[in-house]
Amino acid sequence: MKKSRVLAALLTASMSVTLLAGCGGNSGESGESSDGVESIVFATPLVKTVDMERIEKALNEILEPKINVHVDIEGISMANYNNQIGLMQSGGEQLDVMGYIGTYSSWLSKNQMLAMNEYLDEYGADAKEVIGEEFLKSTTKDGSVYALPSLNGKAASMTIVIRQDLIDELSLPVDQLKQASSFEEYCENLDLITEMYAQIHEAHPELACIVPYSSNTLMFTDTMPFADRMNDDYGVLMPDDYETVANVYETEEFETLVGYAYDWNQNGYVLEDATTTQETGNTYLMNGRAASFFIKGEEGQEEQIETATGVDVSAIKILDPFITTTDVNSMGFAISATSEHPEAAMKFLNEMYTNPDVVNLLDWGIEGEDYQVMGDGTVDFPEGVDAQTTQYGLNMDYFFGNQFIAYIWGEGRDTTLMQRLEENNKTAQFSPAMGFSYDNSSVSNEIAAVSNVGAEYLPGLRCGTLNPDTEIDKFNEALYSAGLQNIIDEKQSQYDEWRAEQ
Amino acid sequence: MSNVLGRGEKIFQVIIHIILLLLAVCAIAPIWILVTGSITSEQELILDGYSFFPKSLSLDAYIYLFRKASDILRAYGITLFITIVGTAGSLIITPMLAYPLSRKDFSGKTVIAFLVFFTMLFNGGIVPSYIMWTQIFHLKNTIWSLILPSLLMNGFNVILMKNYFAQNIPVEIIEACKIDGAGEFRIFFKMILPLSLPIMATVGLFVGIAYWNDWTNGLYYVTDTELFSLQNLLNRILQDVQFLSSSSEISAAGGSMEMPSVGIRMAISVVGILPIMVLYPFFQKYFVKGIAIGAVKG
Repeated sequence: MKKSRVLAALLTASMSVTLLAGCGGNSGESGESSDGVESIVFATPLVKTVDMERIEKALNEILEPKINVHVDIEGISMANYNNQIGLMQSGGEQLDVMGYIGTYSSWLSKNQMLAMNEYLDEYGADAKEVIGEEFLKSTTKDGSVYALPSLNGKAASMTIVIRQDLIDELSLPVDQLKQASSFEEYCENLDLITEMYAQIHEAHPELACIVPYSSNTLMFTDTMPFADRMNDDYGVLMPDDYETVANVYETEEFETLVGYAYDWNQNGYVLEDATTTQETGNTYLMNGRAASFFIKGEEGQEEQIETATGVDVSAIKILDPFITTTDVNSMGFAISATSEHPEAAMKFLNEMYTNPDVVNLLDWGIEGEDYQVMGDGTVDFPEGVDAQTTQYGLNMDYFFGNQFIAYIWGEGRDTTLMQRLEENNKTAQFSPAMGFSYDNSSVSNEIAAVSNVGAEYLPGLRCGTLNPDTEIDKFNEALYSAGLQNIIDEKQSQYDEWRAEQ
Repeated sequence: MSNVLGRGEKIFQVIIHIILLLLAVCAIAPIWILVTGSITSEQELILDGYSFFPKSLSLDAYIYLFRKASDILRAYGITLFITIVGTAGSLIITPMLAYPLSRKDFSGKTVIAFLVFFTMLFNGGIVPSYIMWTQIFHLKNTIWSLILPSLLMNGFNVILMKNYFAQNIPVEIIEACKIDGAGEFRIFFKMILPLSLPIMATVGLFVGIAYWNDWTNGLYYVTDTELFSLQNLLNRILQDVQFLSSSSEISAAGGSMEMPSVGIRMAISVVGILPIMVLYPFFQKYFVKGIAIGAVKG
């Protein structure tokens, strides 16, 4: 009896003490401290679970003396990121800078981001300059800038990745593939690839000639050449008429592309579980299952894939790049609508776009511990550390601010890569709708319904398991009965309005 | 019971056994695949998929986990701690609420019983809970955020215990104790609790498993990697893998990512369920008894 009573008393006591301690500990955390250093909270999505405390400490050693800002990094698992941000904002927690990947338009329609114009002009002039007018348009709505897009190679275009040993063995005519500047040239490329697949299939029937790189699509089927997807593919701008929003799934071009997928599937070139697999193309490549896959990629991707898989490949762009709003604003950084320290937040963002020390720290970790600078100007693991044992290894250099001022990872890699990426960004063709981002809140029910229809038909069509002759009509019928026309009309009216303002 | 079964009865027995065997196979097969998946070589998994009897065995996944032992062990420790403290706490406060509710001579009974019932049907939802735990109690990134929210006390367990007390503890015993001069506390600790071992074991098992398997609290309230529990860690790894493999933004931006292989994901799951599987048989005898007794009549 005594024991239980003592235990109960102890537990009660310990709980109340912790509660009180919790109250005391947290209250002094945020805001301005006595020496004028402002504390801000920086939430960032992370691709894997990493202890950010070391990075935070090193980051503040740079930032506090320079701009008087102390940053608390909240690293949040990417899969749960959007929920967590919603909770933090509605829960009244301090949140100032928030990175994002793919959530720009949903944050915009829910007013989760602060219009940052005045702070950008005053404290972020340098960042504004390196990002440039054209890219900043993608995160501007009605004259207000809501986010800074991450600077990286935006001129990604359809690329085929083929195993080098197969090219050599079968002397595949890969040098005949060219960057297509029209749909017809794109189809010529695909015809050529069909012939190559026939060769590969004959010589190596055990290989899947083509596997999906991700998301259960063969990729080439869902990137319509020179069309602007307008955020979600439901209602797009086709190259023959950039003024009218159209249903891409009704076009001849779509039928042609999924026709290729269907033929390939019929001939046994496609991986059997293409529509359901959870693995990426890299995994299949690494384990000797895949001969090739398509990605939407930029220069440097070849080396990335070779490093990740240890397989020698050739990556060949088969389409000219075409940059749309979504390509640019797909990832970046915003200031929370709930932030009480927008000036400090902007000062920090400015550093992230202009200060190589800050960018390298976030990209690669701490020099000497997580990376070291090699003789050729690249960075790589220091001695005794490898991909398995590294404490950091996020490899999110495409994300944190300005990739062009960061080191390139991997000894022996071409250090002119960044200049080429930057050059491509400038020379690539831009969509006429560049800067238009649409607010889908008024048709959110239709979007949900239409997405369900898409989830039912698209994997099958895009991987070639469904016969386009019969299924495309059914698909379109289902789309229209789910309300696709409303979405298209809404997009069209917002687009007309936007164009009138330009 | 007589050993001689009628013909019809025999056939019935055979059929029932076959059905039960099939059901048992359905339950065991996924676990078997999980275990064999974790010891199959990665190449075979990708080329041929999962199989019940893998051709090439490999312990790579476990070796990888062993190299990451500090993370995994810490997560194990956190899970163990919250399970023990949480279950103990729950077993102390749940009967303290359930017992008064079982007493006919307790005047506020209906109101409190209604409140307990109410929580079984309705709750405030995640945002208000989040605001309460983080803004009022400041539990974010503390070990208590894994113990207190939603798991510590549960309306269902209270009702289960209340029913057990009401039906298995005769009022006469309580009266006899009173006549002997025992106070309420003494009656509760000396008489009621020792008589209630089956229901304590049952509720303890429920709560223990709930704590062991919980990852939602960790998901909402913990961003500090040092406080990740085992299930939370596992869940994050799996979700990140899923997110990455479906994110076109990242691949377009030139990011590629080394993901834990299928085998490693399987191995982490095995490590996660192992202790429960080992402990379960020891609790089972109490488990069946307690739930059967507690569940009779509302």
